[in-house]
Amino acid sequence: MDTFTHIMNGFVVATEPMNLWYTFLGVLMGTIIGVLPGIGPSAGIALLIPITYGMNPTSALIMMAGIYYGAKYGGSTTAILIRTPGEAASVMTSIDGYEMAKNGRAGAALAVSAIGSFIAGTIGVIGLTLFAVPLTSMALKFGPAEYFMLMLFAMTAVSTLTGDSPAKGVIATILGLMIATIGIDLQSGQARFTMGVPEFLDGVGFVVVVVGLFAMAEVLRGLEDIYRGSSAKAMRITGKLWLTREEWKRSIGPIWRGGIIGFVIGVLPGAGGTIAAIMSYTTEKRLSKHPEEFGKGAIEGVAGPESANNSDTAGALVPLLTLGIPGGGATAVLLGAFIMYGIQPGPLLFQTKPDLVWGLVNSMYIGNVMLVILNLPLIGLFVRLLYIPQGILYPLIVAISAIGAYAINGSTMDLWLILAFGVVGYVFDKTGIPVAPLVLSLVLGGMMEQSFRQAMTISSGDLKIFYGSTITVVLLVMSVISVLLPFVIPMLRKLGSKGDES
Amino acid sequence: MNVYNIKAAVMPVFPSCRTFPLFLCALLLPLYAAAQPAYPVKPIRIVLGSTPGASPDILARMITTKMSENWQQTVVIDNKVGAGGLIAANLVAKATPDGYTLLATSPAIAIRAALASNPDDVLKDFSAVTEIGFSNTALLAGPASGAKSIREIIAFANANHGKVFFASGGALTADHINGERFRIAAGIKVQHVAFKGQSEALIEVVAGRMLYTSASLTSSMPFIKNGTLRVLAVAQRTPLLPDVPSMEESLKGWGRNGSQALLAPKGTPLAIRQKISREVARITSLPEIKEKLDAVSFGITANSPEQHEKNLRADVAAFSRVLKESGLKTN
Amino acid sequence: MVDRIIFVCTVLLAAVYLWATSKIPTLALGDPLGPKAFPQMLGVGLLIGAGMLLAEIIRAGRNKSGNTEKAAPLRFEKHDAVVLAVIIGTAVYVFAFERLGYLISTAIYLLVMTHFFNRGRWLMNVLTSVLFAVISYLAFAKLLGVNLARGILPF
Repeated sequence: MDTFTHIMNGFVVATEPMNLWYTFLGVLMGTIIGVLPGIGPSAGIALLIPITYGMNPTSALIMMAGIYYGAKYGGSTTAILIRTPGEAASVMTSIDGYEMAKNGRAGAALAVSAIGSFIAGTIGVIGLTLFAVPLTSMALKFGPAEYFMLMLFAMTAVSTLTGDSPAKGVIATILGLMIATIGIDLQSGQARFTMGVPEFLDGVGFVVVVVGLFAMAEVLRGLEDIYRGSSAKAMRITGKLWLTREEWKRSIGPIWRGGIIGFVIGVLPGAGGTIAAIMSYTTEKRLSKHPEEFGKGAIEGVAGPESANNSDTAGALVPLLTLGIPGGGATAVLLGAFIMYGIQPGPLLFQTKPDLVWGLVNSMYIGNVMLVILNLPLIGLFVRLLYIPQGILYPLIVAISAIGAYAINGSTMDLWLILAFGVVGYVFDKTGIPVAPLVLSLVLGGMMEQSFRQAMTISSGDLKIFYGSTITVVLLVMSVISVLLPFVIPMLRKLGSKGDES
Repeated sequence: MNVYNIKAAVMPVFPSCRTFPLFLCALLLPLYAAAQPAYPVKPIRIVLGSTPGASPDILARMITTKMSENWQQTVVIDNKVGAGGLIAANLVAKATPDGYTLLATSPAIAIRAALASNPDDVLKDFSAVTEIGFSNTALLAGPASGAKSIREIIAFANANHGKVFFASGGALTADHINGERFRIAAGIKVQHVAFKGQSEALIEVVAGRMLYTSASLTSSMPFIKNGTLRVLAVAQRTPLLPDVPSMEESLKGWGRNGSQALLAPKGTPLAIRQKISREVARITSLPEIKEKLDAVSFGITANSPEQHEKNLRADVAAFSRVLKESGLKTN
Repeated sequence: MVDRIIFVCTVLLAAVYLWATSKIPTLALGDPLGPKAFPQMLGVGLLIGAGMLLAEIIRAGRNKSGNTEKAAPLRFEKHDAVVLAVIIGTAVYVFAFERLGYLISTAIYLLVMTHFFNRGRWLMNVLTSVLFAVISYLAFAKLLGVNLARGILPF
């Protein structure tokens, strides 16, 4: 059967009433999670995994994907109204979006976020539809050596691109890798670093670490802020929820560019929505005729990044579905959900489960339409969430995390781990150690070590295998570039400030 | 393999009986049974080491539903996930041996016993109840060798001595042991490479980097159907693939995979264990259950506590030899 | 100052990890690298990371050496005590989770936390705490069949 038929069948699957309902539930929860600061899509999907046991996998995955891309819509609301990104990738939106709100243009900022997200999100899904299958045929060429190099690239990209201190990025990355070595070794069956705790034989649960590092740590920070009286107050929505002709003209370019930047960055593992948003922001500032407005409420500074971080989500699904490699925290949790249903994303998924894949991809077109409705006419409802007293909200997050974690293994060990990782996340935040590299390397670490050893077994211990194919060489070069980039960029910037090139 | 051992089930033998003539046993049996308290009089808990929705869980639920209908007692499944069933096993080992707490196991427990320096370290806490059955397993080859039969793949491995590999879904899993058993029985030199889960191992074979792998028939069926993988042998002949020989037919000494089973804490009365084993045998022979199990290529091997005990010991001994020969066991 | 503490912790952690690595048993056969090689690389990698951090500390110190600004000394402030109290409170919650059961422990935890962080709104706090615990228990444990600790309650 050809791909076109599969795609058409996927539309049939996606428009089944049951699946439409789950798409709606997913994007609705995604919007709520996005609006609430603290719980991001990773924690949201993670909390949902145990609850969806026994559900039809297609519907469950459609719903979880809905949370994933829906959260990006909701995240901008919080960024604009309280200057706190509701979701990490909205960090750039909180700069100009909040300024716009202060200038009485909150309505326009929210509108351009929703419209930009919709257009760019759809661009992303079209990209996913077009490129996923051609990429799968390449994916079978990915043996252990290629996988290792790909993960090495992902890791170098994240550890050096996030944060100001490369050393701390490296430390966080290696800590994640170390946590990943806890448990039974896949190749030899030996137990490692389990400290005699039987629960550790399976390794430290990824969900638990994510909920701890993100949700629990945010609770600690949030409660501390309440005590200090420094917690942010939400602004009221001002101005009409629409754009003036002038604003629209200024936004359309950034939306398109952001959509394309976001998709490309999303496909590259490791980069993720935050980087896509930053890239889009800097691009727009450079292209703008009035760069001095950026930081003081330029609508381009909202339109571009918000678009970029939405098409990024579809882009990130490309490596997830075709290679089984998650590009970041949220897609890693999605991968966990796939595996829980006994579905291994990878090159063969498009052959063995076309209905599921295309049902999922096509549900995203529908989900994006639903999201623009939820986030434009109905935005007032979600904003109310921001007026829940935070002193109630944060304790509730702890209880919700406990339900989610305990339901998976029925063990309080996981609750202790959440608390412990919550403290770790809090301390990391206070000391400027980035959390993202730790999460990514925790997910990829196990795979990285195993593919390294698989490759070494195949080559009988010859390192040549890591530069033996075109793919490995390309990935090696890209890894080297991403290591050197932090040193090169400042130099380029110096040049850029003298000359004039873009 | 699918023989239901009638003799053992009809004439349960308790230890003191071995020296007596069999008819005496048969005479005494009704008295013995009458002295037993009624079972079950309260809810039964079956502890399971896998997640809800996984295939062992579905199997267990299929059986417990029928069991509780017949006995008019609640039978609950308690999923204690973790450490390859070790957490569930530890829990049941410490439970009261009254027949109200049972452990649903996979071949993993036999492998764990085979790895221990003394298998009794693992088995001493349990009394056998009954086997349930096993997922039919296939030995699969990809396009790399072009092999269409066990003979051809052995020839290919010999021609490429030391340069070929076999994949498994993880070290010390049943599929890994099966791959090693084939290697030993065939007398070929292939190096094991572990991947994360059966499906990754299958992909490696499809891509031609690995010579063969062992995987459940259910998960490999899509690949067999679209021709990307060739099935060389199955654990048990199946009408789904009428031309494929069984492993034991195609190679002497290949051996079996071990099975999913029920264990009880040590000291659970034999009469109770026999009652459960008869019930499992009854349920697995119901047409509707059989049909469902056939659909997922699950072979039924329900038997008596004695036979189960014997098979389990035999599996452990066989696995132990394989592990030693593969250098996986240090003691 | 903070960075120095991180440096020391990192070095200590690397040492402990490398020591634990040496305890992993090795097999006679198996893959050529074995289970120890990668952890050893990680231990060394963490030391390199610590080295990089030390270089950053020295560089930062040199840039600022003219200034009198010494990094703010670490002091245990009142808001740190609040964070510590939240951690301890949550630990008690986890400790009680299976012993008392989800329903009771969650209701108590929420009552105590909202009492401190959402001061003065008695009715709202009590209602949210009790209703959340009861509704979530009914929805998850009873309706969806999710495993939540029952504890001392008979249902």
